[in-house]
Amino acid sequence: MHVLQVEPQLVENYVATGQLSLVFSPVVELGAGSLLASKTAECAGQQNPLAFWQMHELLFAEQSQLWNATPELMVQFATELGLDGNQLQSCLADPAIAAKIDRMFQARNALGIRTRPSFDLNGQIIQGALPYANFAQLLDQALAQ
Amino acid sequence: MMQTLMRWSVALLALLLLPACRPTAEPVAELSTPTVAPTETVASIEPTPTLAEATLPPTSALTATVVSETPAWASTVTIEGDYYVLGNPAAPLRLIDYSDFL
Repeated sequence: MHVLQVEPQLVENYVATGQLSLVFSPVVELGAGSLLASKTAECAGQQNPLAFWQMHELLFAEQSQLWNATPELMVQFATELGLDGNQLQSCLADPAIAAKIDRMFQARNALGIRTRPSFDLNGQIIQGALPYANFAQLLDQALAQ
Repeated sequence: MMQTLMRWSVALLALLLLPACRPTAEPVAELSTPTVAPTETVASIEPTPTLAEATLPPTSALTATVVSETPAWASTVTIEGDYYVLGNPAAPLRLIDYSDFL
């Protein structure tokens, strides 16, 4: 819900104006599909940093397919975004990518964050998804300070 | 004889007085020199139109600079450590989303 409904409005109203930057930190708690999707986004980012965010959006849009996802499906997604499928497939097998994802996941756990999703707005932890209006209110309050 | 002497003395006096009259003409010439000066002060008005013209290009140049240098933050991604940061990396606010793709 957040990525497909709230995030586009955040991007349009706050990111595009230079007031807000977004960071995605992967949580890999739901098995092989979680890890494969996270790897795919990271590998897309290796080819082009903006492609990380494009793949991140595509993966959420195709979330229903991720439970039984295969590397071949990930290559198909990469091709849809104009990325090099072969390069992505090689990247998925790179242990450095898995290590990077684990590092980010452990960093999240070290902060004591357990709820999925959770957000960190300039150090303020928000647990659970919020409608856009609530985010906008929080962001406006923070900008006014 | 007396009349002739009188005429000669008048002529002599006139000759003596003639040089004395010249200085009165010189100051007139000196006065005419300063009267040229106002022409120069009129010329000093000319910079005004050039100043007015000069103010326009900087304004338009500034506008162009602002437009051309405004980054498309929604498609700007920078790498910070392990993370891909979308938007202005120096934005006053940062939102980190801890989510699972599933």
